[in-house]
Amino acid sequence: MTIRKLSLTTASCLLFCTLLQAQDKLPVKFGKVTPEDFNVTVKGPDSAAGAVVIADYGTSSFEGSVRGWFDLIFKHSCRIKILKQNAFEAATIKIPLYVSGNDGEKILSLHAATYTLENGKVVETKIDDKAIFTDQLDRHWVEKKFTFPALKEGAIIEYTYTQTSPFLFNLQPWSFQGDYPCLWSEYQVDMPNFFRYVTLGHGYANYDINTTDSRTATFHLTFPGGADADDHETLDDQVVTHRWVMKNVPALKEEPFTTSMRNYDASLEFQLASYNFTQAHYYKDVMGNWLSVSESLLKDDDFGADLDKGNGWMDDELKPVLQGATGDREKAERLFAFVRDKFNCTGHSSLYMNDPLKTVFKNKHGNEAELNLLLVALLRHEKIVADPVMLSTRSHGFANEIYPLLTRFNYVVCQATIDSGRYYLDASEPWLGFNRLPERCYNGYARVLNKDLPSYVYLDADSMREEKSTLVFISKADKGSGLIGQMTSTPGFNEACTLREKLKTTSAADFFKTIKSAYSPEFMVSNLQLDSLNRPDDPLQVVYDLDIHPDSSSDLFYFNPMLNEGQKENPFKSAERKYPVEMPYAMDEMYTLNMDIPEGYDVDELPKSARVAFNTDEGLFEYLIVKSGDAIQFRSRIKFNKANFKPEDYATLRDFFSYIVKKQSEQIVFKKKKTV
Amino acid sequence: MRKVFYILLLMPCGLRAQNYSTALIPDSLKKDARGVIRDQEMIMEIKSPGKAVWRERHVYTVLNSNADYLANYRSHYDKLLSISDISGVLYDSLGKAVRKAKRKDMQDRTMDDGMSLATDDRELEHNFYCQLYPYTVDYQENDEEDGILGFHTWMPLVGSGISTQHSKYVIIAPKDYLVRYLSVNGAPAPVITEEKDKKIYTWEAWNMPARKTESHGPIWTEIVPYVMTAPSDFEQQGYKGNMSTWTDYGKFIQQLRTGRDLLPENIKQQVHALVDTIPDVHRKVYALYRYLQQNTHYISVQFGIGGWQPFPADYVANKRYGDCKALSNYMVALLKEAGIKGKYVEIMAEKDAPPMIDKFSCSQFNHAISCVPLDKDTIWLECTNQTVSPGYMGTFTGGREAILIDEDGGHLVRTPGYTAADNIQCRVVQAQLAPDGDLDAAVRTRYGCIRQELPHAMIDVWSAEDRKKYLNELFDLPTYTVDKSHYDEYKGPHPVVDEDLHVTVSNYASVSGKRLFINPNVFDRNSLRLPADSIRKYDYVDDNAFTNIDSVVITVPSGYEVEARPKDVAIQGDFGTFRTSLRFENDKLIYYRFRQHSAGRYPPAEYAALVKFYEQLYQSDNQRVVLVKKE
Repeated sequence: MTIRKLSLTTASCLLFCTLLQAQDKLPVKFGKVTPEDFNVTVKGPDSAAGAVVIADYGTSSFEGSVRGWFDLIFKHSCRIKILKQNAFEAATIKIPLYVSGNDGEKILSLHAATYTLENGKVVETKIDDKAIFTDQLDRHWVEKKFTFPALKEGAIIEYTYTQTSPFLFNLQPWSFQGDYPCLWSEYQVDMPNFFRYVTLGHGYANYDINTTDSRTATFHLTFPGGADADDHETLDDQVVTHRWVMKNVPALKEEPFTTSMRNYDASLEFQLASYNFTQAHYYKDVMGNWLSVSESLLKDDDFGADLDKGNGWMDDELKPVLQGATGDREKAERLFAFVRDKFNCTGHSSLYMNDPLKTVFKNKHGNEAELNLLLVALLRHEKIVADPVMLSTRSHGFANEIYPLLTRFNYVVCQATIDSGRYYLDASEPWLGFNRLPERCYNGYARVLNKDLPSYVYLDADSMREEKSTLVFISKADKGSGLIGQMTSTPGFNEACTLREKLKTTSAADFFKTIKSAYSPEFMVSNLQLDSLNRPDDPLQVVYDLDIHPDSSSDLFYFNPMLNEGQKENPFKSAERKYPVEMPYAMDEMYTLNMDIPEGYDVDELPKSARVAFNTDEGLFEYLIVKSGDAIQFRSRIKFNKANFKPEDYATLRDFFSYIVKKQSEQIVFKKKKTV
Repeated sequence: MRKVFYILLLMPCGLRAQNYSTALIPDSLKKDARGVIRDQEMIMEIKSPGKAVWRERHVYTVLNSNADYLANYRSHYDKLLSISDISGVLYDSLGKAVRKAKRKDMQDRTMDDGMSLATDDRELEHNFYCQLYPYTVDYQENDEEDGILGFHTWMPLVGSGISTQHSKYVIIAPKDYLVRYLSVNGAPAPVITEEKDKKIYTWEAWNMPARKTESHGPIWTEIVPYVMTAPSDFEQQGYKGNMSTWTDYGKFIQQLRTGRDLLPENIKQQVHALVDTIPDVHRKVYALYRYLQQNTHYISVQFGIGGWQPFPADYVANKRYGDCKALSNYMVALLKEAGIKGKYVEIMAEKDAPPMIDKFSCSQFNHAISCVPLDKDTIWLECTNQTVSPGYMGTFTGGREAILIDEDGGHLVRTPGYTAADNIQCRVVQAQLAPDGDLDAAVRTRYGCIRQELPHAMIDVWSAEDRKKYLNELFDLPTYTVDKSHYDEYKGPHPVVDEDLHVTVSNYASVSGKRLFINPNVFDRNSLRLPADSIRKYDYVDDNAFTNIDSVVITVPSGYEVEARPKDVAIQGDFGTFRTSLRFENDKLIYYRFRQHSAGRYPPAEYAALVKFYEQLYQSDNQRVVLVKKE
């Protein structure tokens, strides 16, 4: 252990040799740039970086406000050295500010300047106030933005600002890791005992400094008196200063097969948990627990308040929908199809409704939360047990299992319970069948919201099976050496969804063209059909006929038994990998071919059969081929039992697919029989 | 940036009495259609050269989900153009109004183009999100505009698969005001009437069936009728001008630039220090251009007339940034200080930009560049790019008409383009095949002119990550690794990039039993195959001109002989030149491929031959040599 630590320290010294005085104090003095400060270079994996963050420093603290409560004060200073022109975009800074009604976050003071070294002297160019722009993005967000003047390669840019916020739930988060490598990233939070926050850290990197310190502080609160004089009050409290420092943080690099980089960047978030004014004997739980959160969500006007009401407004329109339906399952299927087919989904990342259910029902459109909550209401209206389920989609990062943090959820689906069977429904996509959730929902922890029995459910990518089967029969044509065949391909659920969505905007004729043009001239493709394209509850099938004519001028006929269905590309392009591989699902692709040997030909050479296991039992590739009499039987199967793999498995995965591509490109060689 | 063809903006007029039942759409308008313009009215009333009001109405029927975009209503506004009134109605297929929208129901947001740091462009957006087809939306809007720098283009057929039942464009102008217009592709002339002190120009069209674009076909503006309209006299924010001729147009732009070329003293000194000792004018220009590239970069700030007027040279000098106008203006100022006459040029940038209509003077531009006309040649300078070669005009601005702005007004000019011989990709591959099929290759490639744009960007602009990603996806090979790469760049009007790669390809050849299947064309396979059964109405348009030369030597394990091989090909014709040759000797596969392709347009009658040509290429490029162990 000691040895390992030692070597790590040596390594970081080598990587960032400019930071010789590696100690505990912030290594820069903001506002004072000396010629020596320009001696910053990056070595190691990030040596080609376009910019380097020399120091990123933030503090958050609390102050008594003039409204008889508290304000959050966030101070942020950052110094960046621009190394290359391709990182000039790092010199455009955007600060989002939250506004709600008359209250809003504000920037109190903003200083920004570019420093360049001209003939050994530091030249400072300050930004002028007119070059700081304010943009009203929407009702709740205003953006302050500016770009540094006098920028050039080798320049240092530095900005400092103070942001005040009346929103205690908005204690600023901190990202230690960003697009550029960072030599020193530090965040300090002074938390009074009055307020309890839950601190959530994620990412792979470790803190170099992680300390707490405690002192007593005095807060001055002013209570506006309106016409009368203002009231003042002074409160003393214990304040704990938390300090987190990361040094030499590498740049965050995105990799394919990653659900969300949010799961991997080194960062801190805070969630307000409770108020705790011991002197005033005032204690209030803000965060709650899963039970209370579930309860309050179900009472919330923007979530569950309408679910159990009589909702008589839906009676008339539901009558024809349910007419003749027998049994709860059929009713549920009809109601699901009704919402899916008759409503337009306007967004897929919402935990809350914007409009009441009645309006959604009338307007026939809404976000996914509105449509799926409506579905819950419709099912309950028909006395079918149904509950909302909230989850975090893959691109939104994982939800937190321990704390009931609503900000970590961004999606709602519906769980129906019929004859003790559980069904998960998402009516927000026209191509989704009953009891099917889209790929994005398979992101682990999800909460079932029920006021008596809140529970959770795991929606794991590992549990999602993508099963594809392809069947090909090829037999001798009536005359000559030709062959005729039929191909039937049943794509897995996700591939079918993608295809259904794609065929909404491109015509089937275009799709067929791409199939046809993939074949070489010996193959004629005809009678293309797509079965169940518009019936999302049934599996999709692609069927077509083949007419094969070996080139008569040659003695040899090379034939790939995979036809065009083989894996032609290795999905893992990059030679290296840093983060876990998160494949969308566990797949099982089966391809079967039965064929006659063409008239007048013999088999000269068959590919060799092979069976390869991936990590013993996590995956399997089979390539089995036999000749029996006048026929050839062939089967190829790629199967994975899970979807998530460790970074250490990457090289093996890449080799595994490389082997599959190679095997699936092999050919059967038919040779003309010698005519006697 | 100014928009030249913005049709889907704007306005409200009188009563909505019309019946928009979809049963009233003639069958001829449903053929090949996903949507129908039921009624479109745009009325512009010019109150004075500095003031106009707009009344607009857009009624669209969406026949299926492919035309949903038509119903997504977006209306632009800014400091000079305000929307005084706007509303929308949704009708069902019977024409019954089912929902209504007012301004407060619409999204109001900034139009972040992703390019500008700041802009006053905003838009209202609204959508009924109807899903019961067919349905009809009806939006009306009234606008007021300060200054009339640009009018609309009237294009009754707005897009592929959209037919038009009725479309009308009206300009009401003071009697003595000259309204300028140009009918293109057979668009009708206006009906002109007079009413008191006003002159009314009306363009109108009924029952136009839908047209469809074709892949590799001509651009939309080439195949549909439209009318360009533009002001004669105009004024905006205190500037007055006239754009009846390019000369006048140029004078106005020149007026906006007047007094904006003053450099701070320190910059003047730097200019002299840089060029005074250089005798050759070309070298002086290159030195100043390099100075511009090293000391400025692109940042756009657009407010009001800022869409037309460059920021002054001292602004750029102090801030070291500016947009295309500011940087081009600054470049001209730097040249002036060095005693060189540089010119400011307005141009329509982007690959595949519609060609300029040179006989109609109005703003058809979205970009500015500069140039230095010399005795024998002209040096063209793209001023927003920090790394591009001086004199290089590639896919962004090359080979097209533009307007050069001079003291005496605007002049029509043409930027240089590149030929098939200029746009070269010449590749030499020396490779070794291992017994298990892995390939180890040294790949040396020279890229010229347009072909060097991508490697150039990769060397100079992209991050290390993007570069890695590019190299990992450069070749169409299943599993490969580029473990060494080296680049040399030679700048100039005909820039060249040399690339040296060491590439290992896993399982490149398929080795099974006694045979070895290998494609000798490792890195340059043509994948384009044209659908043979397409019936074309329009020309096949190919704007790319290039030459590809590949020389490949692959040493294979000894003991093999050729069992089957692709035939050598030699095609020379309308579609270009394509030649391949293959030899196998001393365990070496020696492959040569030459392809030269010039830009061209081929009428529908030649399409079948074109399909065949690409099919021959595809076959030749994708066939494998079969080697078999000698018995």
